[in-house]
Amino acid sequence: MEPPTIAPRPSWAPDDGPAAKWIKGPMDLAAWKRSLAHRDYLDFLHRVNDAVAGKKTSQWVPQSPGVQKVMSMLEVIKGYTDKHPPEAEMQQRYGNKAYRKWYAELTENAKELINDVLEEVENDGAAAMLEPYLLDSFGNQTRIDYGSGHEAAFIILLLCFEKIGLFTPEDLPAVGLMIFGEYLRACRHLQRLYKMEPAGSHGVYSLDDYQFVPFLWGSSQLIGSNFDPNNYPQPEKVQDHDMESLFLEAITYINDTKTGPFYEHSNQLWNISAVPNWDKINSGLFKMYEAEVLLKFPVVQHFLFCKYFQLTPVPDEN
Amino acid sequence: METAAAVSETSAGLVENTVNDLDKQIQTLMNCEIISEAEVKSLCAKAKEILIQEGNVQVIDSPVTVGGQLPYTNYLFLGDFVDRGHYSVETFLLLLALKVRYPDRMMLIRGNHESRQITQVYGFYDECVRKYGSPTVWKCCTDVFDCLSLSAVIAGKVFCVHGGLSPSIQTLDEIRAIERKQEVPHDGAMCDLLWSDPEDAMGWGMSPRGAGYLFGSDVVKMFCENNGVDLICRAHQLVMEGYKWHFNETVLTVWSAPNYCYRCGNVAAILELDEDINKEFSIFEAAPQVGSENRGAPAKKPLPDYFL
Repeated sequence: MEPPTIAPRPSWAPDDGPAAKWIKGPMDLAAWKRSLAHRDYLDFLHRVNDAVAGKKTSQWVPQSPGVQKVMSMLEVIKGYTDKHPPEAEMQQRYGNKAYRKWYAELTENAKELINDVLEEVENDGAAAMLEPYLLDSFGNQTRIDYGSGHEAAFIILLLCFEKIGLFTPEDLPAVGLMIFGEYLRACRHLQRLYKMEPAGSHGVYSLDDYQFVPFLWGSSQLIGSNFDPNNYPQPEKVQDHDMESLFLEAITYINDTKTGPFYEHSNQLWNISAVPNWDKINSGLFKMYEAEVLLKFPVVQHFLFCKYFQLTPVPDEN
Repeated sequence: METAAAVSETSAGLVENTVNDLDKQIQTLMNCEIISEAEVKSLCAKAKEILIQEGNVQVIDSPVTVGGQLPYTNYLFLGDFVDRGHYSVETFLLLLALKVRYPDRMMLIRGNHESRQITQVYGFYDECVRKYGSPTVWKCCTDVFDCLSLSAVIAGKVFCVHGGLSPSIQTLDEIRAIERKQEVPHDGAMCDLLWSDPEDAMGWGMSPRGAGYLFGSDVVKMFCENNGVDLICRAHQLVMEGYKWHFNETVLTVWSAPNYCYRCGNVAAILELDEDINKEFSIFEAAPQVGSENRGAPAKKPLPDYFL
C-alpha cells in the first residue's frame, strides 16, 4: 500500500487573527531565518542596543506617554501577585501553583491592558492580535517556568507596539532602559515568589538560566565605561555599580540566587569576562544570541506570528 | 593495536584483558577524567552490541535501584545522561563502561536528551568537541543512543519510562513493536514515551514542551489495568523533594540531579525496590562546591566563534 502523500503546507500568510505559532519542525527554521520577522527582530534589537549605548540604567531619559503607559501596565501586572500569594508547599512538584492563579488574572485582563496602552494610537483592534505575546512574556502557566523564549515574546510585543506607532525613535532609550528594566524586575519577582523553573536552560552552556537580552543591551550600556569586564565575576566589584547597567544588575541577581563559585555556576559569563572591552562583548553576544537562541528549534518553535511580525520571506533586493 | 594483538592469544587471555581495561576505564571515569578517543570507540562498539539485543521493554527482576551507585542489586537508569552539566562525557561513558562490565545488572533506557538534535542545543556536542577536539566522540555516543531501550518492567509490576505515556500506545506489545533504532522522532509513540508529563486534567492534553502530551489519572488507570502493572515510574521533571507521587501513587517521578542549575535548591532521589517490590527512597544533596582549593578557577576561554 502506498504511504499517504503529505500535501505541502501552504505558505504562511498574514491575517487579522491573534498571533499564533507556525514553526512545526526544524525544516521550518530556514523559513524563519529568511523572514521579515527575523529581520525586524534583529533590527529592533540593534536599534535599541544603539539607543542605550553608554547610558546608565539610572540616568534620565525622555518618557513619552506611550512609554509611560507600558510602564503602568507592567506595574499592574506585577501587582497581581499581591492577590495571589504563594500557597503552602505540600504536594507541589517544584513551582508554586499560585502562579497559575496569577497567570489566570493576567489572562483575564490582558486584552484590556493592551487596549489601555494603545488607547491614543490608531490600532484597528490590535489588542486581540497582540494578546498572545503578552501572555507568553511571563512564563508558562502549566510548567511554571521561564526562559529566553518568554523574554523574546515580550520584545516582539514591544516591536509590534513600535510598528503600530506607540513608540518613536526618541523612545528607544526608554524602551531599553526603563520598560525592559521594569519588565526584568517583574520577571525576577515572579521567578522568586513562585519558584519558577528555568525553561530549557542550556545549563553551564547558557549565558543565564532565564535571560539573555539584559546582557546584550547591558553590555552596550557599558561601552566606554571604566568598569573592567574582568571584574564582573566578583560580587563585591559589581555591588556598587549594578544600577549602571542591566548587565551588572543581572549579574547581581545571579549572585543572589545561584550557589558556589562563579566560574562553576556561570561558566560562559566567566569566560566572557576575559574579552578585553565591552564593544567586543556586545558584538560577540549578538552573534551568540543569533546562533544559540534565534536559530535553535526548541526556542523558536514557540514563536508567534501575526500581521506585525510576519513569516513572509524578505523580498529579494533585485 | 592492543586489541589486535590480544585476538591472537587464547580466548581466556582476551577476556581477562578486556575486563582489566574496563575496570581501569571505570576507575578513570569515576575520577571524573576522560578516556582516550580510541577507548571511546571500542567501548561504544561493545555497548552497542549488548544494547541492540535488548527489547523495547526490558524485563528486570527485583531487587532494583532506580536512578542512581554499584552492583549488588540490579540498576536501572531512566535516561537524560548528558547535557547542561560540566561532565556529560565522563558521566555517559562511565554508565556505558558499567553496562559493558556488568551487562545483566545495569540497565539504561533512553531519555529525550539522548538525541542528536537535543545534544546540539544543550551542550553535550560542545563538551565533546572541547574535550576531544572533534565531533567524533559525540557521533559515537549518539549512535549508541539509537540502541538504547525505551522502557522497562520491573518484576512485572513497575513500568519504567523516561517521560510518560502516549495516545498511540495502549499495551506493552505496542511498545515492543516500535522500530527504535533511530533518532528520536518529533512526534509519534517513541517521541511521546520520552517527552510526556502527567498533569492534573483528565485525558490527553497538548504539551507546553512542544513534544509529547500531558496525560491524566484516567489514562494511567487504563494503561495499568490493560498491562497488569501497578505503577509507572518516570523522570523528566524537576522535583524539589527528589521524588513525587502522582495520581494516588500510580505514577512516580524520580529526579536524580540535586541543586539543578546550581540554583533550584532541590535534593535528588534514588528509588530502591527489594525482592517484594517494597519501595525505599535514598535522598542526596549536591556535592559541596569547593572554591579554589580543589580544582581551582579555570582559565577564561571565551568562545572563539563569537568573541574572537
